[in-house]
Amino acid sequence: MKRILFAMAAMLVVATAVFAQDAKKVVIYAALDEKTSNELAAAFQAATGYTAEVALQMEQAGTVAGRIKTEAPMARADVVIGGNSNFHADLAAGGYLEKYTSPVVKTAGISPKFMDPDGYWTGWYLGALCILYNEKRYNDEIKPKGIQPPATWDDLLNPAYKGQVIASNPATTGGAYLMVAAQIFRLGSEQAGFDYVRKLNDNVAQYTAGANGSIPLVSQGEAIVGVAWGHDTLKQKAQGNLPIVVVFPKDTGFEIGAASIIKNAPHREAAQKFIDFLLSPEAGKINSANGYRYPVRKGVALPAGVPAFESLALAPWDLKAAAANVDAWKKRWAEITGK
Amino acid sequence: MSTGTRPEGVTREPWLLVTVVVLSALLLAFVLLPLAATVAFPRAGDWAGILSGARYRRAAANSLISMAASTATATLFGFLFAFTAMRTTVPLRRLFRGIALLPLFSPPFMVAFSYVMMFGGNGLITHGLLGVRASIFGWPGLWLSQTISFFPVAALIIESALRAIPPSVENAARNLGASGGRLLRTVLLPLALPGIAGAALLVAIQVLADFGNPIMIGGNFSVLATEAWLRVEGWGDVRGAAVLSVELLVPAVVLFVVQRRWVAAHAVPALGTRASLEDLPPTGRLARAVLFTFCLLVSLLVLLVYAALVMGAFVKGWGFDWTPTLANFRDVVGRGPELLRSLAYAGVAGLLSALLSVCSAWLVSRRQFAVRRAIDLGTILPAALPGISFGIGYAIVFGRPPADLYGTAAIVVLSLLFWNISMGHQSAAAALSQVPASFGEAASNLGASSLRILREIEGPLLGGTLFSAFTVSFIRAITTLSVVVFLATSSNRVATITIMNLVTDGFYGKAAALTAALLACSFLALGAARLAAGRPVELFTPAVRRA
Amino acid sequence: MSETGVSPHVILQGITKSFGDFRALSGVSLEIPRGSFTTFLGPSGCGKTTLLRTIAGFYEPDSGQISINGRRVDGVPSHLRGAVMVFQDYALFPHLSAAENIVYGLKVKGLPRPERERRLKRIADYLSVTDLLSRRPGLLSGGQQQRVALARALVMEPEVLLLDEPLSNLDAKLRETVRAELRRLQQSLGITTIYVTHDQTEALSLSDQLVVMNAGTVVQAGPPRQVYFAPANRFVASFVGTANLLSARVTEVADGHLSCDAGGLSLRARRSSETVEVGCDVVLSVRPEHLSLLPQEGSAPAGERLPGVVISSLFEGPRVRYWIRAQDHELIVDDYRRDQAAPAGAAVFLGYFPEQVHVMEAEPNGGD
Repeated sequence: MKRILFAMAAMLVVATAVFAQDAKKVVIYAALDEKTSNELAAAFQAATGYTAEVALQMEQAGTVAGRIKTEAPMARADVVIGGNSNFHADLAAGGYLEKYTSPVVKTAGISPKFMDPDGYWTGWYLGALCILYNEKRYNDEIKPKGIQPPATWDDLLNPAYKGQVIASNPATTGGAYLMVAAQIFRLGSEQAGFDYVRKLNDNVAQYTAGANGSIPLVSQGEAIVGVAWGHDTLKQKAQGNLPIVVVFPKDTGFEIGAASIIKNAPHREAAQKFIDFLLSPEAGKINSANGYRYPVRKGVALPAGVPAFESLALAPWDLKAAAANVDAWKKRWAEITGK
Repeated sequence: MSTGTRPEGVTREPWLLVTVVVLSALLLAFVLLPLAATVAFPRAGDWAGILSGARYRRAAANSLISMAASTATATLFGFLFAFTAMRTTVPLRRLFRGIALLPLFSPPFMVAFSYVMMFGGNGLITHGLLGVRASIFGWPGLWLSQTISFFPVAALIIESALRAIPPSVENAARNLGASGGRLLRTVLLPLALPGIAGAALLVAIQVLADFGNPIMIGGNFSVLATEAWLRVEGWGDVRGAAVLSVELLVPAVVLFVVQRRWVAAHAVPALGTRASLEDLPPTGRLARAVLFTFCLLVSLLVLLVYAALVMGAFVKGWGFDWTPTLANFRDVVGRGPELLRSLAYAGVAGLLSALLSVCSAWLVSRRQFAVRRAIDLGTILPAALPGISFGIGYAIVFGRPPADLYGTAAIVVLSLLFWNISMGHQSAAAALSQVPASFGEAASNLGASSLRILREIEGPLLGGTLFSAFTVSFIRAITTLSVVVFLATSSNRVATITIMNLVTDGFYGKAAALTAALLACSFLALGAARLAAGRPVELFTPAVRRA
Repeated sequence: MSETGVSPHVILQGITKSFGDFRALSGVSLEIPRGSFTTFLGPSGCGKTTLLRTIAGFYEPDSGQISINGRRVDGVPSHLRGAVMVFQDYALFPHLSAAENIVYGLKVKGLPRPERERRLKRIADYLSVTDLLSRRPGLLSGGQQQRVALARALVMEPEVLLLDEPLSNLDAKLRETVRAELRRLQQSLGITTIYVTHDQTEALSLSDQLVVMNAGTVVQAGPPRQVYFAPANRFVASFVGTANLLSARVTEVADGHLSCDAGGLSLRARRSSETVEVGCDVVLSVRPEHLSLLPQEGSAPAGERLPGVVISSLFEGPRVRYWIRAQDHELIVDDYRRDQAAPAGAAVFLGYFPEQVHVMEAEPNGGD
């Protein structure tokens, strides 16, 4: 009985902590890993003297977005950070965000192409898709055929990789959608892009539900080659000593990691300060050190093994088209692959 | 005459009335409301979108296919194990039985996870030993994992069905000339059939609701439970997920109703005599050899799960770097909060669930009142609800004002508490049916109030049940993934969620170590609880003894 | 100590009780004398246990009144009626020792410990369970459990003691001993006792008043001898003891005696009722012990003997039970002279006294 009462009391304490409000503070919803979120909050606190509370931290941007929608009538958080710009664009379209353009964009000379043309979200980091392959299996099975290691999207169409490619499913993950969009944008038309999807489909062993599902499968040798987020792959490779090689292909797809102020934010001024802070070199460093992501601000040190951002060749991108065609392109993709 | 005993009402004692009202309110708020919300939440467009999507139609079909296949094999395995343990003289049968019960104590996804490590494209057995590169991902792997995960449940139920058949019946059939297959076909099977069917229905519900195995090993073979999660994870589409979870809910509830009806209609009255093996002649050589081989192979498959887990926990990179390491356990230390939360939430939910369910079972089986049937139904209902559906209901109702518990411990504890309440309720009701009603009547005839009867007479007699209800709830709570997957945030995330994330990210070693730690913690906790629940009643010396 | 049968202690008036569609009691009215031992006897389902439980307060009657000691008790909680019950399965609390079981009710009542212990000691001595007090029910034999259960009830010093088939869980030998003990105990305490049983021997041997029930009604209530020797109808005759029942028509009335024809068998009986006339249809009830095998044909007057043929016989120790065909009837005869044994097929004569042939008016439906 005592234990029950104790536990009840503990629950109350937790609940109170969650509900407690404070004027000089910012409440953050983060679609980022836990470590990055907490370090960002701590650094902001140290830099500004404002309290920063990470009230919600989930790696899945979808869940965070869903959360903001459900509590919209009574917004509890001030900013939502992380997750690619499509989630933010979707929230903006639903009227869940407030416009804000940070003055830091101009003062720091950050490219405006990473900012919302409509002025809602602020891009503060980038992630690019990569190709990864299992080194041993490539050497054992592919190299003897005289085939070079995969370096471009078209290399994945080589019949030698039949049944050996792991990609992900746009129905379940935004990363897969960006991969499809990258093909359409680089090849110049929907038709050419979906033609690529059709050809790739012949080689694909499995479309994973998550964008990074190929990392374990290729590392384990379930398949030879896969597509995933470059930053996540490099990070997992470094942490798990994975036997894979990571390549950023030309014309690769990318996401803009965004941050936005939530409509009716209880602490609007603090929220703006926090967005400004995300564009600082300090925030960029925390983000890239933990998540291997590229800050939009130039001149931030990157972890070892991460190629310089300038070395990447991003596909020509049409943010509007990418946001406008989500349902149509997902549907088309499903028709072609039958998945 | 013995025209049963009819329970009395609740109006004579005010606290009984209060209990009824409170219990009804709790069930309304924490069982019915989330359920209703799940059904009501999606808009027409969400229904149309999901129901017409080829992907989701296939997921629905896959759910049914895997249910049929896994239920068939799990029931068959369960029957063979139960039969071997109860009705044969196969060597090591008791050991086999013990091994068969192991999966009941493990997280449901563990089997799939271990089989990926053992039989995957780079699996220790398939690739390491046999040099084959066959992928276990997809329906074959799912079928195998679900069979191994759920046959213990079938074995337990069928075992009690077989136990109810006195050996004398079998011996009588032998005496009349039936033996071997004929005996099995004409006597044992018909008698055990209700039990077998009941087991199959229960397993079917569990397979249908299974989230852990398909998320780990299903690969392209997607089922409704995992699709519901992916809708939220990938696209933040809670409404779509609610549609999918309703799709899952409907067959689950239908199966549950059928199962309840079936079991009620075919309840075999316990014939008193327990089957003791000494009463049966030795099993034939051929049958013995076949059953022994079968049980041995399946037992090895079960043990393999744990072997993979332990091995995985101690190597650097499963499948490519077999260097032994303790690094994975260093990682576990950093997961302390999740482990603690797992233990604390499951402990609190288990305790409260056991107490509440004994209370409801006592009311329902000992008193007569207006909403008695409704309370009974409301308490039993969660047993039919797939964890995914239950969790999403909580996310919808308690994830926003006015009852916003999102991210709190309370939402997890409450969901686990009410998801498990049927377990305790059913076992307490069963136990109460074993306690003659005359005990309570005798006490009330001697002047004891209902509260006093519950506290002094029927309560102490239910002590064992209370503890087992706690144990079952605790194990279910600490091992569940599906209920909490929609409720977890950084501040209330439990270990199973972390394990799932680690596995999907490919950190098998860390996942294995954390799973091992979770298992160890839960066994330690259970051991401690057993000690704590030791029999204080035994130590009580009656004052009158000195007289 | 009050005298038997002086004033009614428990009065039941028009008790009716239904469970759903099943009518368990229909209009039962009964008076139970102070200090008497009253037995409810009947087949299962007759309502006897329901009636007992209604008196105990486990059921409330749908209609009717219950008074104990002149006080209306229907609607009064069980423990305030002064009627304490001993259950068929004893309902000893398995987790409490015998002593704790016995003092349970006193404790609930809030009696101080010294008083509890005093009463415990007294009742334990009285029922010779002192040595068993520290044991749990699981370690007691059936007879011991029965005594503890009785002690638990009696220690409450109830107005009325209710016993629900308390001997049915004992083996045959023990049952006879306990039955005798129970009767002595009741008589020495003079406590009004209501006892439910389906065992007619038990009912006959224990009761001051025997209440035979069937289908929710009281069929006959009276002293055991009256019920046994003058059953009210076919049902009572066949349920209480063994009886040869013969449907017959009265052929002659003379000298306070009747002559009857039972399917070709001619019997004489005492005329007990003025309403029985020549031509009446009656049922004759003859107990097996009231028939005997005559040593020779002439040892009884012609009207008081019956010819028959032995079908089979069983030696039962003090007597021999015969099945004898007499015309279309098969009669059961208990013969206490064991020196002679008639083999199957033997032609015999049965003797009887007309005074021992009980005449009942035939019931319209043929009555059973």
